[in-house]
Amino acid sequence: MEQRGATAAFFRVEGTLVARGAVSLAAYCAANQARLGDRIMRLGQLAMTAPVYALLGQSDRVLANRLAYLPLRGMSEDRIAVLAEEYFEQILKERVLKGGLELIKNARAAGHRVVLISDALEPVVAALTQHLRHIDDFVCNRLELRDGSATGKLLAPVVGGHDSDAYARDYARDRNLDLSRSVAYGAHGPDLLLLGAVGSRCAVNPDFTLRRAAQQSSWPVLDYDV
Amino acid sequence: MFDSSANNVLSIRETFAGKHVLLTGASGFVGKVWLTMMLEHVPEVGSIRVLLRRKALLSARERFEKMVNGSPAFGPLHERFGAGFSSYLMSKVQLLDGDISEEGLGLSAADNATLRREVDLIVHCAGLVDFDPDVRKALSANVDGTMNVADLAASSDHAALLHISTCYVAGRRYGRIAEEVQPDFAPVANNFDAAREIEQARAAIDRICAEHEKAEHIAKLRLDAEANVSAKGAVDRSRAVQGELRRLQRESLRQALSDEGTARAARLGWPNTYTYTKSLAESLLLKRAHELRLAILRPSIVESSVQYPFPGWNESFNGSAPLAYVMGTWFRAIPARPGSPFDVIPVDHVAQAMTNVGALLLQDRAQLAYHVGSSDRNVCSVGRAAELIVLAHRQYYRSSARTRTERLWKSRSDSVLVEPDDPYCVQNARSITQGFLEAIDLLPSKLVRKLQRLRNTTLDVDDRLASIEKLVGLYLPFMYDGHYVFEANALRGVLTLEPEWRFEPERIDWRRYWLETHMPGLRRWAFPLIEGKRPERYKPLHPVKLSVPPPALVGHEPAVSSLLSATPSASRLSS
Repeated sequence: MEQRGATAAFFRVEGTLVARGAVSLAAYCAANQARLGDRIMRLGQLAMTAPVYALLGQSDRVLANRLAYLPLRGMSEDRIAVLAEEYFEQILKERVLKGGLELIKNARAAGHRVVLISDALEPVVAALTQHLRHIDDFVCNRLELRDGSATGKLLAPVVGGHDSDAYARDYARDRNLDLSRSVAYGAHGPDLLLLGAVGSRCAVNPDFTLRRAAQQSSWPVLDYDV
Repeated sequence: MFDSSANNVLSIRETFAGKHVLLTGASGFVGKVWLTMMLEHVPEVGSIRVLLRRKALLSARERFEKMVNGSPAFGPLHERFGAGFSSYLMSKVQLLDGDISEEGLGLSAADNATLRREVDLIVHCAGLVDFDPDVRKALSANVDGTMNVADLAASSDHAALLHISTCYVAGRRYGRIAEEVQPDFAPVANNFDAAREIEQARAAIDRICAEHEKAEHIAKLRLDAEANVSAKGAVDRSRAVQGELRRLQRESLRQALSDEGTARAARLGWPNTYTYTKSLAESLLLKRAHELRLAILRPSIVESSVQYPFPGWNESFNGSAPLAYVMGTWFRAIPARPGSPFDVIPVDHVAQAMTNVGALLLQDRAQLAYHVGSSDRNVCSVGRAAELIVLAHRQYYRSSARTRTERLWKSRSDSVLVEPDDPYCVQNARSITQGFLEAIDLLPSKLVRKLQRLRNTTLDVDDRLASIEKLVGLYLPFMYDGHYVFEANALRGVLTLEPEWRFEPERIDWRRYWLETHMPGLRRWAFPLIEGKRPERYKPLHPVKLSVPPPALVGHEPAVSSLLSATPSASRLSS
């Protein structure tokens, strides 16, 4: 249990720390199936999903994430774990945003617990956490597995929707944190409630929905190169 | 805290304290790991008498020295004891120059008398583990050898016998296989009599040998020999023909005897000669169970160690190594049934189980049969094993590719499991190469000469495909035909006081094991053997040199040809 008055900095990973989302990870997994036919079929599924994801991304990322991970159906847990680690090492690691690293550094310096909230799957976020160091906790999406293979569904609660604030509140309650002095960084429309749940917030590289909301609420907006 | 006095807790160190153990098969994969683990973790053991046969120009002592000084399995012991390893070894190990396939284990009567009087436990690991060997050799090592060891156990004052067999004596059966030994068992034959089968097999061997001595057979081989020599263009032709003839005779006889073993095994329902002869030995042992304190331990597919002597140690040819190797080559369609259990067990787990059962035997608490596998307690399916193999290859080629082909092709193209009649199966691939060769041979000779390089390349590819076809045939019973779960209940309730001896296959994390331990282990220790290269040897700072005159076994005159002293003080390292 934290000492009363301790604070946290919540980071929505996609947009603030990395510029790649769930579709990118799903595409990597789909493109690295054992059979060529499987690769084509899964990439095809994803190609159909991608525009929907782009549209839903600003309003309902739960459905968007569910659609993005659907092509992983039937893929073995082992393959997903290996490919996810590989994806981090070969793609994501080089694309961690410098501005995001600076924000984490500042949060640590201010004495906040650093908590990541990510749309990605556990092996990716675990690797990212290890890479970033000084990360206290993370929450991410988990695939439903049956007999060692993914069913294509995500386990509830799916990260990415409008309920990140609920996670932040539960987290703060469990650890006796003071949310009014805590910070949150988000980049997409569905992060609005999370940003609203804490005392200080910042919209980082926001999408259209979040940018408009931030401007209306006079929240700080931070743009850095992605 | 454990209470060793409790019935369900077994103290290995207490049980083995002061006991004398005879070990056969110490140069094998399992025997070596068991020996090193005992030397490392049970210093209280009275003595371990290692029966080793001389081989080629090496005496048993030289073989043992070579093994201790070169095998990486002994590395941890060298590192722990340093210059004192020789002394420790000499205080615990006594070497016997013998051969299990000979009556009286090839030892003198006096040696046998000493063993009969002093040995408390015989651990019989020796055997021929090739899948398709010359059936004579398989019967000699696996059946006669076991009977000779049983003779010693039966005539000894108090020695118990721990016989190492294999789960796959179950043969062509499906479903859950119980830990039991059935009298005169054959998987698909009724009214089977093991003794009669052995007699018939020996009669068949004699007949085949006689046929190979016949003049017409030799004349036919001579024609082949002459053709081969002509093709090579030897200088001393008659001598070369004689040499080639001898080689062909040997090869022809070996092939015929190998085929005979495979055919007999298949007819009775075993996947290969190894399991056939191991099962015959079990049947014969069971007939003598009344005169023996006996336990039969059946490991499944013995693979790389998890922990001891170090993670990934492997020198097994008959596990998943050849298959894993093929899956990393350019041939990628492996016939297998993904849902079947692939019962793999790490070698140090086998050593743990052997020690547990050995201790139970010493306490007269052992059952007759024990399965040492993972399918019952922590199953890994064929599909999962194959997936982990290809993922391990992928990881390797992505991080350590040496050629552009490896980087661009092998790291991106995974092996897939197919049905045996899949269009991409090895037989179809061979039909293409052979059809191509036939087509070339139909061309005018002028053109054939021009295409000689292409023909040679195709021949080379066809040879490789033939090897893969043979390998696939050997592994099909395990990867496709069989669907076994080997019940492993007998050791479930055994809890050892010492954590290093606990047999807990359910603790294996298969993903971690295959990716981080087993496959890197195979790449380092087994794949070089498959490629005909010499694997790494261990180079100790203080090599063991057993130069002390042969002393007696404990408390006996030097009739026994033991090569190591029974007391540390009597030992001396030669520089």
